[in-house]
Amino acid sequence: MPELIWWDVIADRVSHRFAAKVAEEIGKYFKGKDDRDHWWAFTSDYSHLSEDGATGLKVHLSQGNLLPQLTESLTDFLNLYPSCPISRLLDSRPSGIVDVRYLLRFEDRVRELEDKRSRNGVLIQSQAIYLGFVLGRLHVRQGLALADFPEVEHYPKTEKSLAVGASICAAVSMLAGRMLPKYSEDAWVQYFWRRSLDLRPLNFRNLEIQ
Amino acid sequence: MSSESKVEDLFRAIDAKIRRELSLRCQAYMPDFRMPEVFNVLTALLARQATLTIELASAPQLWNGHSAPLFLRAMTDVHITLAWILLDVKTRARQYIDHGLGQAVLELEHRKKGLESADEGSKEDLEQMIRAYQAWIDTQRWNFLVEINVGAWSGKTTREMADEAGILDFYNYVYTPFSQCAHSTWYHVGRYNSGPSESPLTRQLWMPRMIELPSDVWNLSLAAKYLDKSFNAFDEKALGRPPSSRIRDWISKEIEARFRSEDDKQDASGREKSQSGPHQTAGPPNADK
Repeated sequence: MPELIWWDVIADRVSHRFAAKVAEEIGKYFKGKDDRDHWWAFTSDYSHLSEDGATGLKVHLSQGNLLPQLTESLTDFLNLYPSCPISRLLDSRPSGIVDVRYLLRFEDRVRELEDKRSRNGVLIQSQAIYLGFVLGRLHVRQGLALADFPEVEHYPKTEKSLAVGASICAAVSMLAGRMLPKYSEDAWVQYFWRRSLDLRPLNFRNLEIQ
Repeated sequence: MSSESKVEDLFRAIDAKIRRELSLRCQAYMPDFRMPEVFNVLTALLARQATLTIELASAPQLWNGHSAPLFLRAMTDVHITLAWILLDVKTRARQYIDHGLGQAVLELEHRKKGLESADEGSKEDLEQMIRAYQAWIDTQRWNFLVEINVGAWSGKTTREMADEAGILDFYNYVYTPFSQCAHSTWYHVGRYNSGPSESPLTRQLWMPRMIELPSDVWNLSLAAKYLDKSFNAFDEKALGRPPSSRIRDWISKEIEARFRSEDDKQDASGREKSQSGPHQTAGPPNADK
């Protein structure tokens, strides 16, 4: 979940449509580049991005007039997690100043994403699949649920969208297993949970006599 | 009468009832002096089961998922042991005693070893304890003749014993679930002493906790049920008569009679039509087997 959470941050601050547009442009930028290990949907992918690559991507997103809104939508999130690899898309390092109201909002969003079959949960996973299509790395045989990918927009209201959503979840689980480092070696995920603990320290007072 | 006095009165009545039922069975059972150990073991196991029921009954603060299963698991163990011994009392009662004596000798040897390194101040106490252990073993068998068996006393697992006694369901649905509490496995500890933290941001971490559980009379009801089972097995196999123990029903009726006012009774009759049986919070789903 922490690997795809930035897509939900964008969707929350702007819209799912905008998040899809960002994914499409990222896909177009990396299409044809000689890197078959990353689809650029997962946060950890951006820790493998070279300086030139990061600059090139920012220029590309600026040309599409997406960068200002993208960075603005991510700022509060990146202030919560300043060492997030996605912060490379910003022009300066995040200040790390925590906006408490945003923290509460973010917490609520994460609560929903805990259910990977929730609407937002499925939509952030669909970004990985969408990038696979744009990059030309994912091909789906006609007749399979994933071939009706655009139907995910209606998830979970239609029968077809439910089938597409289930296929997306299964495909992303497979992709994550193949493309991401092992959980214990995933630097971003470890950082995300460690930093989350700083933001929300555990409270053991309930163990004491009330 | 105050409600505290009423509760104490109930406990005294339960204690007396169980002791009376136990006593009647022991009186009805004629010992065979060619193998006195059969009488000794069977009546002792009944007394053990009665003790556990009385102890649990008298401590309502233990009628919850943290503590009651410790008693209930011990009671299922007693029942399986009793049921298995009843299938071949002559051999198995002896086996049961021999194992117990072996355990006692083993502990005695550990104590003797401890005596060598004990300081002068505690030596005398230790020697006294050793003499008492030795005397208990000697009354039954010379301690140097006792064979020490460190394995299962019956040479079988509890599951095998339950299977042979025809009470495998009891083992699966009662003994095994209560064992989680007795052995503090994650299945118990993860539910009663740990839980996901409240914030999704720290959901990976589970918080230690000591959940507050109300006393649930269902635990007393289960203890009485298992006592009935043991008494009834004894009735059938040892006394050769139809099972006659109804302590569980008797306790229910006593509670009903002592604690429900006329108004409550009227309310309850309406509720009972839509809801059968007491609410269970602590025992496994099939603990009623």
